[in-house]
This record gives sequence, structure tokens and C-alpha cells, in this order.
Amino acid sequence: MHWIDRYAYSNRIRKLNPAYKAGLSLIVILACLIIDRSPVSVAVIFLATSLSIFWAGLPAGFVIKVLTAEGSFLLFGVLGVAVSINTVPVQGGLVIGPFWVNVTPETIDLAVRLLLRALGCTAMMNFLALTTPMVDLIDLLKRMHVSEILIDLMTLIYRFIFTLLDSLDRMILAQEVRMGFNGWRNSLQSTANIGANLFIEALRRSRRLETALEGRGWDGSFRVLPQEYEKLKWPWKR
Amino acid sequence: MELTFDDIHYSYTDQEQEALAGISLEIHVGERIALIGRNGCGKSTLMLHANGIKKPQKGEVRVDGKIVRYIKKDLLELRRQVGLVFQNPEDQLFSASVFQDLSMGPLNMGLTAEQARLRVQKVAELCDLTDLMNRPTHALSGGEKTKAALAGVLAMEPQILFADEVTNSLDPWIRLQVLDILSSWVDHGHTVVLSTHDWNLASTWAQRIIWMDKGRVSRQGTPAEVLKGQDLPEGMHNHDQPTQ
Repeated sequence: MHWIDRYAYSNRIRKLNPAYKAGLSLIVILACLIIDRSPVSVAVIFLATSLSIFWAGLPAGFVIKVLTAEGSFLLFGVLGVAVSINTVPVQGGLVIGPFWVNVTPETIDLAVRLLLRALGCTAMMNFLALTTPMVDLIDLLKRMHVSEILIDLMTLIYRFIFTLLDSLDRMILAQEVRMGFNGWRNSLQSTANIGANLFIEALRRSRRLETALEGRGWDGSFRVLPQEYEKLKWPWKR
Repeated sequence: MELTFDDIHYSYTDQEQEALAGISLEIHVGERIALIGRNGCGKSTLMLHANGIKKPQKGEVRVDGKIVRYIKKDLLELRRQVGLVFQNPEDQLFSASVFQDLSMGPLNMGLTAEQARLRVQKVAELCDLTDLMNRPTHALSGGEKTKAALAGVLAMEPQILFADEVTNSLDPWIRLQVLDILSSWVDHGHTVVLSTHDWNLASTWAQRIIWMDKGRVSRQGTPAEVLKGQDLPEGMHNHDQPTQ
């Protein structure tokens, strides 16, 4: 998650109001989902990638690598749509043992449309995630009057997930130093110990957090100032 | 403003010995105080009582002679005037950005957004955090986190600030910066009570040293009065033999 954060804070449109970025992403994702045509999905993928690289200034190699990784995952998912496996005879199907494996032009078309649609939506979400820090997204949700409890939870989870990840890294290192992952049985034991310790650490941290919050006059809700953003500047007006 | 601890007793449920065993103490505004003592002598417990986090099992905490009642209104008022910074800054940074974290205390005190913004700006300049305002709190270095945690409490402008071993585990350069911030806070007419194991620091920085032992004040006074002639652990230096 660190690299998502890194790019979210260092891209060219970081200070742009997140409402614009989220609004654009939502409109494009909805269009991709509703229209459900392969050319539209391809256009969305192209649009999202271009916005990420040329507008936000994200490294092209990185954007394409992330999309490729997501596409590979989605490809495995749609294989089940393209290929049907039956226990009853199917005309034109390939017999493998007791099964009939069948691929038709219709299933391939469906699989391709599904893959492209999902990838289009994913590409647009990547654009939003890589250009908008979490703090801005939380701020936006607050302005949209999303439940306070949800906002506070998101804030705390985002804030402390990195701290707990660091604790986890240190615990793993401590176990490695003591050959805690030497062999399968040891590894299982060490993993269980780390899991338990991390849980206890999280509980203790939450108590200390509560104490510190009380010291700052906390009464159950997180009150913070909203972030300040730049206004959208059209390229020809710069 | 005067903060008074009058015969405070407090025990933790899982310990036989009292953490505070009848401690009595007065803290006035405008002092630079070092609180020293062995691990487990009650320094942190005393600080938690100062801020109203813990309630004494016996005895009273008074502010300007008025007994602190442990109700929401009184506690909020107490926390406006008495701030507490803990040793581990990770436990005191709550928000996703430094800017938002510094604004939390002033807004909880009931200040308007504009007033909170001014406080945040002022304290960011004091603690040299102006360039880090938009940085996520998890992406700060250890020293930056310490300064951010300190700034978060200073933004509430407490009259008395209790700093629980905040200079531990800092490199000498950041330590000097933090001490400068604390000294500057005293120069602005406030009090800082700094808990530390560093007796050299205590003797050179503080105007008054409070030495705690087994939940009580063992002795207090100027560094010369408290540390001179004491049987200090090997490697520790007497006040009248300053180190280079």
C-alpha cells in the first residue's frame, strides 16, 4: 500500500479538489458498466491510462504494470465464463475423462466483454486511487455527509494500518533472527505467535490511543479542519 | 495558574504496591521542571492524574484552589489548561495528515475553524512543521512524529505541559530542537514538566527538579539542591561536575 500512497501524494494533480476526480471516475465507471460495449470499455481503459500518465504525471511503466497485473487476475476470473465444463454430452465439446469441455463464440464474446468492462472500471479506479490521497477521499466523504462513525473508522484504520504493518515486519524479523521460519512446523508456530502478538499489540495501542485522545478533549467524534484544494484550471487557461 | 496534587493515592489493579503513595506537589505557571526517578516510581501515573485521565483513589487534584470534579465539563476545562504528551508519538497522531492532526485539539476545545487555523499555523511555525503540513502522519520520521505529537498538544495552548520522556530515543539534533520548543513554551509564560531519565539534561535544563521515589516526592528544589552530593549511579554526573 505504500506505493499507492507515495504516488497519491506526489502526482501532478494531487491538490485538485477530490470531488472533480471522484466525479469524473464515477461518471466514466457508470458509463462503462451501463453501455457494456467492448469499444467503449477499450476507450475507457485508454482514457484512464492517458489521464494517469499525461495529466497526473504518473510513470507510464508503473501504470501499465499495475493494469497488467489486474488484467491477469481478471483473465483467470473470466476463464470460467468462456469455458463451460459439463457432465452431460455437449455437441462440439471436447471430452476429457468424464467431462465435456465446451467453448463457443458466444461465451468467448461474453468473457471478452466482461474482461474489458471490468478492466475499464479498474483502470478508472486506479486513476482515482493513484491521484487522490486517502485523507482527501475521507474529506470528500465527510462533505457528502457519510456516517461519522464510518469516517472515523476509515481515518483510524488508514492511520494505523501502516503502524501495525511496521509492527508485523519487526515481529517477522525477530522470528527470522531466531530461525522461527526454519521448517514447516516452526513456520506455522511462528505465524500463530505473530498473529496473537499483533492482536494484543493492536488492543494495547487502541487503549493508549484512547488515553491520548481524551487528553485532547475528544468527546467521541473526530473534528479536524477540512483540507484546502486548488481549483480546476483548464489547460488552455494556464 | 496553580496545579496542586494533595495527598494523591493510586494503585493499579494488578499491582500490590501503590503507584502513587500520598504524593503532594504544587506546580506554578512559568516554571521549567524536570521530573526524575527510577522506572516504576510513578512519574507517568502522576502525569495521567494531572490531565484528568486517571482519578485519584484518595486525595485531590486542584486547579487554582478549586477541586477537580471528574465530570465532562470540568475535565474539558482541565485539559484546556493542562496538556500531556506521551513518550511514543505513534500513540498520539490520529489523523491522516499533520495539518488535520494539529487542528483536532483546538476544534475539540470549541474554537471556530478560523481560530483553529490560526492556532495550527502558529504552532506549526513554533515546531518547524510548516513544510510537513500536508504529509501523512505515518510517513514522518521519528523526530518529526515527536514534534507533530508535541505540536498537537501545544495547539491547545495549555498553561502547564507535561511531557512524559519525549526526549528519549531522539538523536541529539532533534533532541535539541524539542528542548528549544519546550524552552520557548516556558518563555511564553507557561510551564513545562519534563519527565526524563537523563540527569544531565535535568540539571542543565530545569529550574526545579522533582525527584520521585515509590510514588512520592523524595526531594525537590534547584538542580544543585537536589543532585549535589547524591549517590548517583555510575556514569551519571553530579551537578557541580558538568560534562563536556
